[in-house]
This record gives sequence, C-alpha cells and structure tokens, in this order.
Amino acid sequence: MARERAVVVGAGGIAGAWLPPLKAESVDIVAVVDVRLSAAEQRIEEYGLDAEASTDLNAMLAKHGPDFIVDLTVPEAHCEVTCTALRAGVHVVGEKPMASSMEEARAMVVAAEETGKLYMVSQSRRWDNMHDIVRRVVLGGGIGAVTTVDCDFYIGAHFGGFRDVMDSPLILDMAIHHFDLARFMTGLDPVAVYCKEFNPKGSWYRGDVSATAIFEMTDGAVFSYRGSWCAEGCHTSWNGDWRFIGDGGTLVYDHDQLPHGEVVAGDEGFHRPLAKLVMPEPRVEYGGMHGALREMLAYLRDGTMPQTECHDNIKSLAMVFAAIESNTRGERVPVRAFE
Amino acid sequence: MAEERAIVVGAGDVSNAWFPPLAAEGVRVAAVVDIRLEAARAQIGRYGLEAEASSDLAAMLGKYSPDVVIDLTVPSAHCEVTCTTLRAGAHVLGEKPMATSLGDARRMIAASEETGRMFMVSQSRRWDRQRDVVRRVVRSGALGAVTMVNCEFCVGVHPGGFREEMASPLLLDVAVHHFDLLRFMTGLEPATVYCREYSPIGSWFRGAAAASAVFEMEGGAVFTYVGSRCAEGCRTSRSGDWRIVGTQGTVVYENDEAPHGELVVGDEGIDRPVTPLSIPSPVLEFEGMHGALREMLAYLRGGPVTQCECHDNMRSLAMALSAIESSARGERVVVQGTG
Repeated sequence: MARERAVVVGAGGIAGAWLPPLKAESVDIVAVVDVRLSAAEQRIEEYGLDAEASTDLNAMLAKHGPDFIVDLTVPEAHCEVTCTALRAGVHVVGEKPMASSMEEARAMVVAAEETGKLYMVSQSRRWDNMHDIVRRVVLGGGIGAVTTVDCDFYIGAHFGGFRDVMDSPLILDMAIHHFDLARFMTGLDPVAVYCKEFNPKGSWYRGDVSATAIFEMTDGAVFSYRGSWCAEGCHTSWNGDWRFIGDGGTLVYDHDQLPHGEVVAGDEGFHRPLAKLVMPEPRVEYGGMHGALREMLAYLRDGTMPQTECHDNIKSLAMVFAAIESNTRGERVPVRAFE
Repeated sequence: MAEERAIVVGAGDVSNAWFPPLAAEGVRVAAVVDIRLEAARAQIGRYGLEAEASSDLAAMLGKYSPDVVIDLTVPSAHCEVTCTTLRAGAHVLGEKPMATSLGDARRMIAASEETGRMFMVSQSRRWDRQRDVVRRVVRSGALGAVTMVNCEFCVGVHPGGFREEMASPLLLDVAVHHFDLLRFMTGLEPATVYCREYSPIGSWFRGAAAASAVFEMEGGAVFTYVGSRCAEGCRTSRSGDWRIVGTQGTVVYENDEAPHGELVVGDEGIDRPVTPLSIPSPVLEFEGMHGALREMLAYLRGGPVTQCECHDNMRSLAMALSAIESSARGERVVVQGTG
C-alpha cells in the first residue's frame, strides 16, 4: 500500500495528539508548518520526523504535493489554511471548530465543492466507544422515535489563558462538541434555537461561560442543553451527561459509563411495565483523532465519505453561531447552515 | 384544644390523601360537597365520617359555618369555590394549582384581602424531609450565592381522566410543583421566561406533555427546567432531579435520596480541590398534605401566616402560566407578579 503524504499545519499543543496516530498509520509527514519556525522544528525533533520545517504553507504544498494536510491552527486561521490547501488540490482534515464565523465556514464548503477536494473536520469526540453505542441504539430504533434529548455539562475549569478572556468560551470552545454529539447520537438536525448565555456571579472568566439553550430539531424533537465551565463541585462528564427519550423508552448516558436504558413492555398501569434495554458490545478500535485520521485515510484509499465531511459538520457549527445570535437578540432564531 | 370544623369540597381521588390527616389532627369534617352527590356519600362511608353529603357548597357554609374549607376540586373550579368560601367568612386551604389563569388568581387574592380570611394553597411537596434539608443547606449560604439551578423531570405516567385531556398537563398540573420547589429551596424569584412546550411523538396526552423552559431569576441566576410526563423508562423523581450551583459549590438532589454536594476548598489547579458538603439530618415530622394542614391549623390557633399563602403562591402559578404564554408567543416574556 502506498504511503500517504501529509503536511501538518500548526505545531501547538494539539499537534501532540496528532503526531502519534499519524506515525502509527505510517503517514509520511513531509513538512510541518507553523508561523513560528522554531515550534515546527521542535515538533520534528520531538517525534523524529523526516520532515521539512517551514512557515510557508504554499511553498510546502507546491514542493511536496501532499495527499492531505492536517490543519491544527487556531480557529481564526482555519479558513485561510483550508482554502489554500483545497485550491492547491490537496484534501484537508482540520481541527474543530470548523471556522470562527459562518461566512468563513460557507466559503470553505464552496472551496471544497469548486475543487472537488475533501474537507473533513476532526470532531474527535465522535470516535468513542460509548458514543458509538448510544448512536447504534438510538439510530437502531432502540427507544423508538426520538422526541427529547437533554445534555448537562457542569465543570469548574481554571484554564488560564485565552479561554478566560474570549467571548462565549462555553458555546464556542466546548459546546460545539456537545452539539455535534447530539447530531451524531440521534441523527437529528437543528431547526431553531433559543439560547441564554450568561456569566454567573463569582465567575473567573470575562465572557459568558454558562448557557442554557433549547433547540428545536427535525421531526419535532427538542434538544435542551445546560452547561457551565465555572461550576465548582459535583462535575458531570466532559462529554456531558445525556438523556435520550423516544416514544418507546429512554436511554441515559452519564459519567462516561456504559449507557443504560428502559423500554415500555406493556400497556397497563399508571406506570407501564418496563424492560431493560440491551446494549451492544463496544467496537470502536481507534478513538479520538486517530479515528478521524483513519476516516481520512479510508477516503483516500477507497472513497468512503467521512462522517464529518464539511457539508455535515457545518450544521454543528451553525448550532453554535445561532445560539450566540439568539442570546444577542434575546429571541428564538432559525439555525441555518447554508443561506 | 377546640376541634376545628371543616368542609371538604371535592370527593375525587385526591381526597384520599386528605381524609387521613384530617382525622389524625382531630378536625371535624362537617360536610363533604361534590357535584356528584354519590361521590361525597362514598367518601363519607369509606372514612366513617359523621358528615353531611351535599352538592351545594353555599348551603353547607350557611348551615355549618366552618373554620376552614378544604378545596379539592378540579383547577378550573378553584376560583369559584374559594371566593364563595372566603366571602362566607371561612378560611380556605386549596389544592394546587391555585387557579387556571392569573385573572382568577387575582380575584381570589382580592377576595382574601377584602374578607380578611386566609387563602392558602397546599403546595404539598414543600413538606418533605429531604427538600427541607436542601432548603436549609442552600439558605445557610454554604454554596455561596446561587447562580444556576436545573430541574429535570422525566416520567411516563398514565393518570387517565382530566389530566390526559387538559391543556398544558405538564406545566399547569405538575411543573407548578417544581417551580414552587425552586422558590422554596432557593428563595429565588422569577423575572422572565422563555419556554417551549410540545407534544412529543407518541404522546397519550391531548395537551403538551413536555416542555423546556429558561427562567431568568431576580439577581441574575438562571433556572432551567426540562420536563416530560410522557417519557417511558429511567424515570427521574416525581419531584424532579435537581442541581443547584452556587459560587462556592454544588448540591445535587435526585431520586428522592438525601442530597449530596461538594464545596471548593483551594485555589490551585485546572480542577480546584473540593470537599464534601456537610448535609444536616432531616427534621421535618409531617410531610405532604399533612404538613400543609398542620400549618393551616397552627394559623387558626394563632400562629404565623402560612407558607403558600395566596400572595406568595401566585408567583409559582405565574411561572407556569407565563411559561405557557411564552410558548404560545414563541418569545421570552416577563413573569407577572402579584400586581
């Protein structure tokens, strides 16, 4: 099998999560690009790569003609990096969030369409055994038609750095994962949202670090999200604690434990008799970024479309920006991925 | 001690929860009134009462001059029964919800003010050992200032009767308990609400049996409510599962079990160190309707104004009715007060 050739763009902290799976999959990393040349050189050294360090993405694309790039830059740079690579005829797997605005995200989708190249987002929490089990049960009809989805996320996180001073740190930086998981685990897409963002008393963040949002989803379902990054004590999972209600039963997934559920098993009584829902066996072999990378490689090898291809992932991003818009306007707004 | 005299109005199911505490407290039930005379007779027989069965409240008030009327009629009858009684000079202890409209609630308050008689709503879930513990913990300031409160109520119940036919069976019939518990446990009062009530696929209720609501509370805290009465499987407590977050920590109260919590105790690390919240022992002796009844009796014997006196209880009702209004209008609305 031919070795795929990749350029890694962005040598910051997150590169430490990508270089091991890239090596494990024997991807030939031909260049590491960063605005700080020393950072690129340091990563090459650290991982013993036979790669060129550079600050010039265009030059590296032209010189090495890679199969794909891995975009690990800050969100504000995603649009330029991705469009540059696509227009050079190179596929892209990029870190989440897709972009820092819907206009940028839409421009990236257009670039993918015009060039016929693949742009996928690494929404890494999709590649997780528990999330895969929830998805299989729910999409398999285990609880019937989904009517109600709740996610709670309560963590007191003292990061220091950019999250302490950014606007909407919860919704932009964290809730994107939960919103995408809601879509992943239910197959439902967003229609409209009302969101209240706020910064609680005693918060150590400058922006609104708490939010509660009510999404109207396809098929009349409602997805309620409640979250905070400045809640001390009794933390939920970083993946959120979830409840999925269908017309046949309920599935609960919390604290990263194996999901459990009950389904109706009779039609008599104030409370109907219930039966335990049986969970399938775990089957995800490669989690997180490694799972995302393997989907890119599968695409290169046989054309299998990755689940977070940009036309899909822009819907998760649209949930983020619609929630922020709703909060700003103080009213319910439609969620529109495309204009 | 003198035996108080009471008339019970409404001989339906809920009266089975009232006759035992009335007997235990030595209250003399002079009459049982119901529009179905046979229902009144049946309950008199069942509980061995020396009481008159009647379908005419005004006549019974004239004949027996009771100290108090226990109003157990359907919500739409509360206003007439209560106003008739107050104007006849008797006090009223009525089932929740107070009324089915704020106009009716205001008429009832006016009748109470004009006659100088007490109108108390039996918001019975306040009288509960664990909820009393939660209240004491939160009100003690142990959590610091309360910033976020969540309640999740997801049950599948088949009550039959008017509840499966009425509009807003969740918000008006049950959520009013949860809204009142919020006020009881935290002392927070509502300012605005956005709500979406809906009828999930497969619902056996004619009205909207599910809702999500975001309340902005006075002082900046946010209360998010997620509820459904047509959620089969993995039931929450019928009183809701609660998370109350303050500036210093969190208390979680769920499945009707003793609450538990954590307080922050250090200022280092992404996750700050926490210590278990100390939870006092339960002290409440009389729960549910019995607790409500004892407060009314204490008042009759010269005690203080009761909890859930109509001016106070109207705020809980206003939360439910404003949520319904918000959902109908599709926008955030102000929660009407007692003005």
